[in-house]
Amino acid sequence: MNSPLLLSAALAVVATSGGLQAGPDTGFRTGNPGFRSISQLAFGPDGVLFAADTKSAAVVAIATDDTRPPADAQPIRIEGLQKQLSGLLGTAESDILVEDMAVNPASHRAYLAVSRGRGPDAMPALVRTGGGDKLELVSLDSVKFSKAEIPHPPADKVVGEGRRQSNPRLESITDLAFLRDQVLVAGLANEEFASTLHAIPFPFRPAADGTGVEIYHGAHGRFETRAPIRTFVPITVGNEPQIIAAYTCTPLVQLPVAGLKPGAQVRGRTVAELGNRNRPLDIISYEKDGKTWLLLANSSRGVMKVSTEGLPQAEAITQPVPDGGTKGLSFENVAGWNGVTQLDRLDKTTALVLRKPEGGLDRLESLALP
Amino acid sequence: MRFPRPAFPHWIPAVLAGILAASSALPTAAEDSVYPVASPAEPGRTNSISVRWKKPRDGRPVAEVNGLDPVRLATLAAQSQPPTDWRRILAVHTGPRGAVRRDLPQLAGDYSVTNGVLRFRMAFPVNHGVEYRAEFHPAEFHGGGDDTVAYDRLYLLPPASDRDRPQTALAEIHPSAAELPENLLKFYLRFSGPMGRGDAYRHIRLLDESGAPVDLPFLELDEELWDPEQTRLTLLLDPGRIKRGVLPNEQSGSALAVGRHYTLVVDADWTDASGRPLKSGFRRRFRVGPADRQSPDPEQWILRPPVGGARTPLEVSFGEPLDHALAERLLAVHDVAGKPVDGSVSLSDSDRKWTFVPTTPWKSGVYRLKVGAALEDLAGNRMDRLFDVDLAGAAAGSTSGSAKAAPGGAVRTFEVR
Repeated sequence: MNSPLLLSAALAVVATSGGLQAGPDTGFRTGNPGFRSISQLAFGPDGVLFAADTKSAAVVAIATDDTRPPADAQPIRIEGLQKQLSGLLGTAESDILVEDMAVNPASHRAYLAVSRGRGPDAMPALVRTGGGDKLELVSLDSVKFSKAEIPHPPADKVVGEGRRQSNPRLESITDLAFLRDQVLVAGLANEEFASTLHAIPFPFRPAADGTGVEIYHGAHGRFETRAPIRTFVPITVGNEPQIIAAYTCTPLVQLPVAGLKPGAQVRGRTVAELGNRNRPLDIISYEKDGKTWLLLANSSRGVMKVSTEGLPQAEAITQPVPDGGTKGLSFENVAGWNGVTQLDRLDKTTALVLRKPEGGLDRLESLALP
Repeated sequence: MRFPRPAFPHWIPAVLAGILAASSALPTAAEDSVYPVASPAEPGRTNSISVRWKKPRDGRPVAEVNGLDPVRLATLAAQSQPPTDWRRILAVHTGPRGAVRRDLPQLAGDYSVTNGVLRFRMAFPVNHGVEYRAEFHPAEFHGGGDDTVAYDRLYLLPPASDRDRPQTALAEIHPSAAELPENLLKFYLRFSGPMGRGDAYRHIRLLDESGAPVDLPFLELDEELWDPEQTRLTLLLDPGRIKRGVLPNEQSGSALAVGRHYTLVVDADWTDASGRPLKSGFRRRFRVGPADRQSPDPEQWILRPPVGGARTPLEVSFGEPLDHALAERLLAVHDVAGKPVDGSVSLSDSDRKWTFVPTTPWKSGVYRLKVGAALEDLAGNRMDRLFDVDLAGAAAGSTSGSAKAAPGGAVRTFEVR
């Protein structure tokens, strides 16, 4: 035997081979997407994973072919996730950063975006749960993928000799989500206080309009500011696709997706005002008892349950919202959900959370939706 | 060749291997060194088995097991139902010997069999200071027998000798003016080298005059707003506390109070990209002045045109400090034909003054100073839009400042004689 026999049966690495066919119709091709970084994750239908690469200013769609639950599906529970990841990726525990987590609704596996290292040369890794307490690296060497560049802001006027080398401007992708036929991407720049939201049609097509949506926030119908989105979730209100977004300045707002056109200036309708210690980190929606609820992880690492009853039916929101801060959806803190840093819906009745309770180990576990 | 059953505890060879590997700073020290740890001398076994690490290509070493029974190896390699679990036979992990059986996952990587050699190749390059253990379990290979003693080999790149000696410093903080507006939007922290990401906010505090920390003054983003080289952190003050009419502002007010002094403190134990602490902590004291609710107005800037035939500087005085990063990036000089003029830019006088020195001497003629629309002052006010627009005031025609529509930015012309 002169050529290596690759033993795929028992690898700690799983290779994905997409159910989507590569080709001009879908824009998918097979190879290594060449992530320079990996941060926010979101799933579309049929096991398609969207992963943000902030350093490349791109969103990559990966056909994971992970479309049904594993035969020996066990409840996910991983104690000491950071330590487990350091063992899998062969580095010190302090060199592991979990950037985001998303559950594949088709297989109920959790996917983790992980940085191996903390410096600028940190290596991105995609890891998924294999049931129970198992973790496996998803090999990105040969996957079916499609990439969309996040449109850049107007060309930089680089004139300085020293600054030909590098452009310090970077737009961090703070959240992304798939909705019907588009990927919504929220970003925050490290220089100008910009409020960019990009709606990218999927399957990705080249030469999308480079203009983002400008988001404004009106407080009490009087003060209006640019309002970057921290996190958001798509929901349907009266058959109309909407997003519920949390601004970096904490209001929870409702935006009709129909209005998210390139170049548009959109003003979110404030649906709840969150206080100073409730700065939102992550948001999901779910159905229970015939109603739609939101779960919101916040900066004090607690979780709030928000009723969507009373969300106004869709209408174009172009005017400042009167009395935005005084009326709002009702919300309550979910008892016992402490130390939550990542949150996603595992199935109809269960959430998957990554949390580090006070004095305890960080763990990935499933909790019944409240 | 037979190896006698060891007369010392089984962990000693592993420690020795680690010491051997650690005895040289060169990555090659641990490569290719056959280190057949003691194995049980059982009848019928050749006992020429050795585990070794092969020289890494692209930083990813390969663990090899040589001397395996070729017939057995081929049988295992051909098995597909049930699959051969190579991880049980050759366990590669970062824990102590045997740890893989308990609570630590094995390293991600690929197994292969070539020419009677079982190999494992890591999915990622090795890191300094991490012990990688390749542990061959004969009983798993043979499908039975004594497995109390395994063959194993450590790969260890020792940590750099100056591992703990700080190398990186916080070089400067912008804005640098002695007085900053109450509605200040951001700080830039520039370091002399790349920093580690992930726990920035733990190392930054804002203290009031009594030395007490201001409660939640910053927008803490898990992503952390670094530049690509991770030498500059953008630290936003919580916009919820700056924006008028938003609940945090109404509950807690602005993080900064007019007329008061504050100190921005950066701790020395913040670690850089290689895990070293900073050379020293950093403190910047400043006074807080009134809120800035005026747009930057390039029409009011004072331009001191350069002299033709030389590389004399073009100086632009803003009359106020502007956002350091944006002023550095968004101002540019174009010639009369619209071609950008190459040169170097610097900011001085606490970001009140912009200076441009062309790469080649100025030629006589008309030039344009182009100002990008995204330019902001210290409070996030743009030329075309204030940070928070008072719509009631606008309706009453009393908008403060001279904000005017300038979607494409602004242009000032000057002449070089």
